[in-house]
Amino acid sequence: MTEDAPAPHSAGRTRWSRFAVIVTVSLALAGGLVYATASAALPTSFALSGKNFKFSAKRVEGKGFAQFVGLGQGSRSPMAVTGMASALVSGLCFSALVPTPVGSVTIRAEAGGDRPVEARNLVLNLTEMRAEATATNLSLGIDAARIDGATGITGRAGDYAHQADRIVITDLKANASTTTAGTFRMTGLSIVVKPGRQECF
Amino acid sequence: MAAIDRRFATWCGGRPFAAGLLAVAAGLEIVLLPITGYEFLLVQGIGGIGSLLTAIGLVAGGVALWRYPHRARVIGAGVLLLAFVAYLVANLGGFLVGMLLALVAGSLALAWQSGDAR
Repeated sequence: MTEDAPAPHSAGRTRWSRFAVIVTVSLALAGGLVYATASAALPTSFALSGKNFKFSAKRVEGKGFAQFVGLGQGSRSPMAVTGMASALVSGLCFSALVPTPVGSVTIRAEAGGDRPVEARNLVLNLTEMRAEATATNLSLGIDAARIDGATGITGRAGDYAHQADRIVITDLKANASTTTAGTFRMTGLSIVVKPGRQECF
Repeated sequence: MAAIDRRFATWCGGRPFAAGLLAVAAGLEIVLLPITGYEFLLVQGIGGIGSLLTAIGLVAGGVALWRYPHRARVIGAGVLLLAFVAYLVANLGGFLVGMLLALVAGSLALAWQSGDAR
């Protein structure tokens, strides 16, 4: 804290003026980064997992769609593993309820209000899904191990799966336990952290 | 008790303690956020690995700040860099929280002046 004369040789201190300059510059850079992703100039990667995780979208136009039943690690609960090689997502919202010592906190991100979000290699592990869907070139009842979609995900041999070249999903509301996307190109991204339960739906 | 307190205070005073603590906290936040539930990632994608790697880097940076206080500037610059990397590859830096923690940690470390270099 203070610069005592008999200070041990190891004592140091924080130069607050320098800290102020550095933290201001880096916060400005971070702001620029956030702006760049919010205007879809930079893609970002996602990997979310949690039992309270919700995913909703007004409209999803997916290519290379595949879905099969998979088990979570330790085979706790079955999930619909849903993959899309590429997707255009409008009105995207995902929210996670995070338990903290001071009560639940909702983290919610929304994007794709004006222009759709571009996602590549999107993989959602859904525990529940409600939506309207139209699929093109749909093949039902294929072997989950023989999915030839471009996402590279496959299930266990003998499990049921279906896939489609193209799928249009509207009013998607899903409870997801995990999601990963190779990249998301966000448009109009907004992130809010709020105390309490303020999820997408 | 008082002696232990004073020893701890001296130990903290000799190194960028808060910077290290914040860097470790940032790493933990980034890696724990995706697995707040009980299920671990079923399909491990580039995103999952990215957040794990940045988190490891941040925790290692925090520990390194405590272990090597005289290298605070180099480590601090690394932590600052990882904060930006975390934003791009790790769920927007653990939904901004981890990134902000790491930014403050890196800035604190860069502003650290060790007692030796008067």
